[in-house]
Amino acid sequence: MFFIGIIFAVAITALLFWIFTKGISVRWYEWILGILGIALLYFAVINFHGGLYEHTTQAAWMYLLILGIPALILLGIPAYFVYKRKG
Amino acid sequence: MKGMGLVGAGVAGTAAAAPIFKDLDDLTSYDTNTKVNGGTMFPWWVKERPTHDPTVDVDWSVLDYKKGVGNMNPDFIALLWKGAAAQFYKDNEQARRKRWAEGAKTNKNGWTYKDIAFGSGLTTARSIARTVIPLEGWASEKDPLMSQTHGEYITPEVYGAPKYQGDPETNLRMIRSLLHFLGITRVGVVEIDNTTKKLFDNYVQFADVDYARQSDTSLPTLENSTPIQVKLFPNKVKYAIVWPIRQNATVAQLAQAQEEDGIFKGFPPITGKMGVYGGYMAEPVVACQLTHCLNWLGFEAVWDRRLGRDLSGMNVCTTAWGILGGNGELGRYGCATSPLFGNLFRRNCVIFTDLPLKPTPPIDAGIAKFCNTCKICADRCPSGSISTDSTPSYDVNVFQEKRGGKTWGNTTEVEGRNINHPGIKAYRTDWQGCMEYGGPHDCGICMAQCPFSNDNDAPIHTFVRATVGSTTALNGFYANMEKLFGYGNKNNSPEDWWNRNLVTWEKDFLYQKPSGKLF
Ligand code: SF4
Ligand code: SF4
Repeated sequence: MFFIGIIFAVAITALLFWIFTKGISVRWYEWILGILGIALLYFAVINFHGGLYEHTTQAAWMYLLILGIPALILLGIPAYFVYKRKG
Repeated sequence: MKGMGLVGAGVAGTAAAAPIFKDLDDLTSYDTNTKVNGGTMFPWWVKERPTHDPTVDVDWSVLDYKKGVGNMNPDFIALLWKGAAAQFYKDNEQARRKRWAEGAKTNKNGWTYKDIAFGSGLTTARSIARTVIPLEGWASEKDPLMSQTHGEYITPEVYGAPKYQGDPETNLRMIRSLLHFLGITRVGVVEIDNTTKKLFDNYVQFADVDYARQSDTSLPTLENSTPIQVKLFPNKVKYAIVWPIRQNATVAQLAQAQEEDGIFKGFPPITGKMGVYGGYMAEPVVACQLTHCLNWLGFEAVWDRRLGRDLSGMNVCTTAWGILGGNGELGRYGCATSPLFGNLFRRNCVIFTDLPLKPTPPIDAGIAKFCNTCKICADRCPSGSISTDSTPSYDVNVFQEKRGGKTWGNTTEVEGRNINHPGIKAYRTDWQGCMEYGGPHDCGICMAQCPFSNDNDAPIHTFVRATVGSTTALNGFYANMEKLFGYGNKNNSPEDWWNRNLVTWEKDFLYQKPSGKLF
């Protein structure tokens, strides 16, 4: 769990660094979707990890699927808009 | 204990920035937040209920263990022996031997001789522990083995010490502190009053005696077995200390039936039982330690268990005491269910004492309501011995029809008494059906399969339990998700468990999580 937190913290810091140094414009609702997406992705990953540690493999994969896919959609929407504007 | 300063002048500088325990009294009550060590010791969603009012309705004008064939009282033991003499019991034993022989011969996962030897070894060790740990049974009797040190009885007066004084809440914290040190993270207290006296059977008589002991009167037990002596229970002993011994969740998960056909069909591997017997072993050890400590403090400590030094003892239904003390709620499967480890109660342990203690009320974590919709234990019980009704009932004979009225476990056949107690609005268990199947010895599926029995590594469990404790709206949804997500999906491999990485594995705690952390 500790290392998952570290990985997420590093990834979020790198993303923010990239957004601010490149001067990428992100609208307010894209921030909200992105924050929700990251939170849900984090929840999916820690439950996946916890499920594996509990020896409940099927449950672990279900968490990754049921929580992880909406998380990727939430993250994908702002990423797509940002990409379109940039391109 | 005042004056036994733990912090000397030399370390005063460094101690300024750290918690300071001035003396042992301070250590036992170091948490100044009364909601913590003097409170429920549960998360916020576990609510307290009024005294003697658990989440299942109890009609105290009807409930009386003197009228029932109480769980663990001598009549019940007599019934067990009757069951053990029955043909089905012998058949079960034969079938078990066949499974074990086949498993050992084919090195079947979970049934290798290693599994059998270690599962059985823990079982026999536990039986011996009950006999050889001398304090089991009548711990408070002035027995030379128990209550003496260096030839003198243990009392504070022997050491010229004043009688121990402590207010009930401080005493509760002190006992919790000690038991936590011994691996027990939740301790409750029930007051013995006119209501809870109904939880004692005919073989206990309250009397103005200094310490618990046998009387000169004997009462017959069922089936004309040897009469047993009535126990004199001191009137001054007013409190029951109740604490759970839990089973290890990872091992319990191995107790799932893995075969659809053949002689192993419907029977979980014996590896899954190791937590059961490991847990049983813990009880006499912890109870013995607590008993000695209470005696040294100058107080009585009466343990409920049978097989004391005089092969007698006093049996009480410890589940009832545990539920009244807030260790859990009564689950559909017929025993206590904890908000934190579900049906993995190896035992609710009880020690009665005259040390004044603050009682802890029953709890409501939403479990009894969740049972109304869940039914997972009932659906997965291979013998159909757990009620599948959707509402609890005062009717104790719900399985009578199924058994054609002929049963020793669930009818009024036994001297007009019933093994399922009247006066409790609950889901009933067909104890005979369970035993005829080979349970709980060869089974125990209902304990492992409860959603509350899941380990707490995935944070979603905490989220779900907090919701269940706050509203019933999502109970049906959660019960379905439990099934959809494959909890109890028969995939756990005992052989994998034997080969777990011991350097990184953090889940081999016998009693409860050592840190006391809940998740
Ligand atoms: S132990 Fe008894 S009640 Fe529990 S699942 Fe097995 S047969 Fe059913
Ligand atoms: S499995 Fe479900 S019905 Fe059975 S005791 Fe647990 S919560 Fe209640």
